Amino acid sequence: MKMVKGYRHTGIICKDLEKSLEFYKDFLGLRVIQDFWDDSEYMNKITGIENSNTRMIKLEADDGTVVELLDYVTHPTELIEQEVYNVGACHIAFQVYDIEKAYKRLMQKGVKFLSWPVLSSEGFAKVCFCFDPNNTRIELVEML
Amino acid sequence: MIINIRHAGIVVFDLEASLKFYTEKLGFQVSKKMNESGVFIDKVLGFKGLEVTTVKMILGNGQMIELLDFSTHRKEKIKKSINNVGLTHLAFTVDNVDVIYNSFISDGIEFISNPRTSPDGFVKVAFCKAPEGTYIELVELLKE
Repeated sequence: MKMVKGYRHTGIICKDLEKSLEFYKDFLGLRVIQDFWDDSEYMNKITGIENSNTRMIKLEADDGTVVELLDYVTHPTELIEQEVYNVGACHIAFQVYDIEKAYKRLMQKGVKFLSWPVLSSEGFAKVCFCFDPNNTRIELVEML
Repeated sequence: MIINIRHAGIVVFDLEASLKFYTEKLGFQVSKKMNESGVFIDKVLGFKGLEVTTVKMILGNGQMIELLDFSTHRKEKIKKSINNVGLTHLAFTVDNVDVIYNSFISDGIEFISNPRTSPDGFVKVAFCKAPEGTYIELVELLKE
């Protein structure tokens, strides 16, 4: 049975929404398509969090794929140190036009990287990982 | 800088259980299974002697998720609520969220709530839990 039509978005909860917005909008160049607050009964029901007020910002890449930044203003949490091998959703990969340029630009902005761009074993891609302001690993991939 | 979201990566403890969920329940197809070790994966992830099985899975439209099963470095899931800072959920567009909800409930899959219509009437949404707790948002578009 065909259940899923499409991959709609990936949701990232932000410790500091302005910092995350700077990272995804200004550093990575994604476009803001929606920026709104939601304190509706609907939101409380679907998330199971009562009396919440959440700011949501949706950003899209050139092909229309979407990242959703969320700030649960009424229900904040602390940053979790998450190793890359911890079970659960752990990284988002973005395909970039030019990984060397992206790496240099993000380094200049003070973004922390795990390595410089490395050629994959099979030679199809160049890859490096960096961290967003919420300790989420961001993989940059240039297809060769 | 960015062309698209290439994939989201989910670290799993029980690969077979997750493969079953994403293929049989959500309709993904396995596109590539690799046992990765060596200089490339050690460099990009910042480890030594890492061994990981990666499974890339795609939808009919080519959108991708990646399951990762680390055999050398394993760590249990950190208990994360939906508002925990970091990467917390993946959203998929579906044809009929009520049909999926009923079928998943009878399979014993856990939901936060039953499907709810958003206040603007555009979408009907329910969050369920994939094996090992990753939140999956199922979204049915009611209006284009």
